Amino acid sequence: MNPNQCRVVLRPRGPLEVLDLAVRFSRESWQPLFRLAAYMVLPFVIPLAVAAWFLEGHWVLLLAPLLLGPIIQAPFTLLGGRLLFAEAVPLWPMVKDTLRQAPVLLSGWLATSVALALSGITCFYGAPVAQMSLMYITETALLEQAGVGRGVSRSLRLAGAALGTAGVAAMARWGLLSWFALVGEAVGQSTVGFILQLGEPFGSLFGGQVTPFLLTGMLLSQPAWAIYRLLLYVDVRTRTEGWDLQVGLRAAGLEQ
Amino acid sequence: MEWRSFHKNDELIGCLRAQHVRPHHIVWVQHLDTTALVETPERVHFRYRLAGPGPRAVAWFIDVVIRVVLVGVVIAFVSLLSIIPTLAGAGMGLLLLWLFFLDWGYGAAFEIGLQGRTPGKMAMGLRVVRADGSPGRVPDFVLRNMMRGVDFLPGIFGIGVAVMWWDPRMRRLGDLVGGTVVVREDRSQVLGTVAIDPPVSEEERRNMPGRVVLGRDETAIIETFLRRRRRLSDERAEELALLLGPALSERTGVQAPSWERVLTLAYARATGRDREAD
Repeated sequence: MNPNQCRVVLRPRGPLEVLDLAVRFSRESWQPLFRLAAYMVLPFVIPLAVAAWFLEGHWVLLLAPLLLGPIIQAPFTLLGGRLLFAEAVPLWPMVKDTLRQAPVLLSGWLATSVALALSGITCFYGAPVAQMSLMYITETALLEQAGVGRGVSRSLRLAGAALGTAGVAAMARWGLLSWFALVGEAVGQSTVGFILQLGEPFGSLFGGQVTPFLLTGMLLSQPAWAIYRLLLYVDVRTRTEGWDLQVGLRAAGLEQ
Repeated sequence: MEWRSFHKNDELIGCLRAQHVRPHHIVWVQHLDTTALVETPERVHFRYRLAGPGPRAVAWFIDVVIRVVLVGVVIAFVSLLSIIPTLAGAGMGLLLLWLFFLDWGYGAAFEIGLQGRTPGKMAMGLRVVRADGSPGRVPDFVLRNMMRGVDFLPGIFGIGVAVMWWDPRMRRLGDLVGGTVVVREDRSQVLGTVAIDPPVSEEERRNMPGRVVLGRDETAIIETFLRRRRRLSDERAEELALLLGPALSERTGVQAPSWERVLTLAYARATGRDREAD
């Protein structure tokens, strides 16, 4: 990636400011992001709605968006990365590139899951720490084309260089997930119950059921988290590797 | 470049149109940031940092905690009142009034009293100002807080966040109605002097040219580089210095074993900092 061409201003930011930047970035690039969401999120909504109907909103359904999360996030990471440097990005070549890195991504996610499980079993605080440390694996695999080993070590180094950022980001991840889920539930219930006057055909969260609206909200939080994490990755690299300095020094060098 | 790219920067559109500049004559890269440009009536331009959903959500959460504590205090007070038989009914009325005030008046009262800040916003370094950057007025604060109920729909600020996402200045509906914007206060501090580490040695001083002139941008970027040097690895610092070092060395005649040192010495000589170690 050439930071000279980056569409966002490169400067050190805090994790909450990066979240604001993610909001602006997703607004500016809403068309390709929405188009990709139509390909990556909608196909999962209908099967999950059917499953919610047959399982009568069993809590086990909550695991589905979490397990599908990495699959949904990966193309958004790559799309976001390309949109940082280009106005228009064709979607299919980008999806193909994501698939090409699929073995590395799957191995990375497997490594993350094993680390989460082991650290969660051995130590109460282990799982969040493992999650924070390995949060940039998708970025290193897709944007740096790193293998599993190098990706893990890069993610550990980046997260370790900005531990506070990783901590806030881990909390923000669950915050985003909860917010999207609850807003999804509220919008869905309002539409079906109040506007269409159909009552509660799928039950409701407050009745203890997992509804398709809640699951849709959880699925939609995955692209948001992917874009936020991508910009966190850019920010951490700016702070620890001086991307903004690279731009400034190169510009000054060219003026000589 | 086509016109469609220019909607990203409202201020620039105005300037371009005023100067009859055709967009396709300009090679322009739009850099996205969380700042907004304001022009005062005196034609002075300044930027302020916008506050979006991230810090505002944390500020809101802090305010919610404070409100819960305030409700708890009043509940305790009402419980005490209920001991007196004649005041038992009044206590419940008082509690309902207090809840009503907290729901509708908490934000406005604090923002009026604390010049655009609630305790949560103070903790997060945020402030409500008018869209032109001037201090907010009482009607602005009242209006923006009256719209909070709409922003909250259909739950947990669904509409508010959607409007914030759409608006380039990340304003919720209440801000649009009240003509306000939430900004981050710059907790600026006086930066310390740049450390020349290690200090310029006598030998280096002797070998340097008598006069080194650096441009304003060059000085600024080298200064930033030196300030952030400690966060960079040695290899990365040298890699970065290589971008400017050779050209600078050739122009100014400053020689050193590493490009990083070339930048340091050139900066030290240009700013007179090379004599500090004596």
